[in-house]
Amino acid sequence: MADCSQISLMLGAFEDQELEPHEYQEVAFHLARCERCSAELADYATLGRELRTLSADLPLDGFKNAVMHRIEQLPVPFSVRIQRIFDSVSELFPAGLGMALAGAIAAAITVVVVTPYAQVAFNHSARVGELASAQRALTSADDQVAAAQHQAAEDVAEVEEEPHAIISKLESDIPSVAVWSEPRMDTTVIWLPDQQ
Amino acid sequence: MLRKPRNVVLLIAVVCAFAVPGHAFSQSSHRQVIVIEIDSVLAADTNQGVDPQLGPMGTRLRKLFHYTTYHLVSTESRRTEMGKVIEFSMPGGRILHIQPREIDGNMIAMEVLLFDGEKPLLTTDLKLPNKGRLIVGGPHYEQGALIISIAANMAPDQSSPGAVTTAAEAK
Repeated sequence: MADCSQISLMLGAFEDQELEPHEYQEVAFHLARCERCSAELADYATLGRELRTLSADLPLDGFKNAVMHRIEQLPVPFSVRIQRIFDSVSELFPAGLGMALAGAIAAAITVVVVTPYAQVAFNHSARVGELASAQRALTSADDQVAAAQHQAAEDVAEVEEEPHAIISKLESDIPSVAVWSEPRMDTTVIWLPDQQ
Repeated sequence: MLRKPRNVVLLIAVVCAFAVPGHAFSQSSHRQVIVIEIDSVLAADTNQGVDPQLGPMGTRLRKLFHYTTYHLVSTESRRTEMGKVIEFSMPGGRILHIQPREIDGNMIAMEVLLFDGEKPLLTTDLKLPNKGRLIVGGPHYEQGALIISIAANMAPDQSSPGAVTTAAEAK
């Protein structure tokens, strides 16, 4: 069992509820039987209440800025300064170049892709007229092609219907005798190469 | 054997019925006259142009060949019958034999032989369209080549066969 001198050392902590459970129980058991320690505890409680009423909040305005100012005033090693400069440059330039590149790509896409559509949109009626005239020209060309094909077919049929000479026997001591026919001239040629 | 005179008469009638048209057909076939036209042309590269006497044939020759000179050497036209050989004397001592053989529709079957003296240069059997033309060319002649144009036309039987035109210039 602890005596008053030992209990007295723990009264402050008891008041502030900072004791371990078995210490707290021992102090509370002692206080229940000791008027002098109970009075001393009462004095602690009164003192604590009075201190809390007397305490005032310190002004914190500008505290952060003051701290940061003090930090900035601290001496910075040269290597750290160089590192900071490189970091700032590396952060600045890639970002700027990236933005410039993105802007150039966007402009190119706009010129290449958007402009024709804009032209089509602005000249839609004119385009329709051009398409119509082109279609008429195409139809006319088709007719001409059909007529030409018909004429060609007639020509071929005419040529095919024309009788050709039929050679059933050809004998000569001259080698490389050439024979050909010209249907349009009703002519067949037998060419005997000169042997002299 | 035939025992009844009526059968003999019937047999004679049948024979006559087939014999008369056949004889007529044979006569008409043999009487078909063919007009053979022969033109002999000297083709050379002597830059003398086309002989005006060639007429349309000059244009035809220029389309067929690439010589710079076409000169008409001789021209001859003769009538003949089927099966008969006609002989043409060609420039340079060449000899041309033509024998029309038959008519097949619009075609005239014939045999054409070309000799260089006694040496045969060409022997051919062919069917030429009526009014068609066969050109035999190539043998050396003077400073160029000899081109022989042979045209065959079916002609009505108006007169006996024989020469109807004269040679322009036979060498």
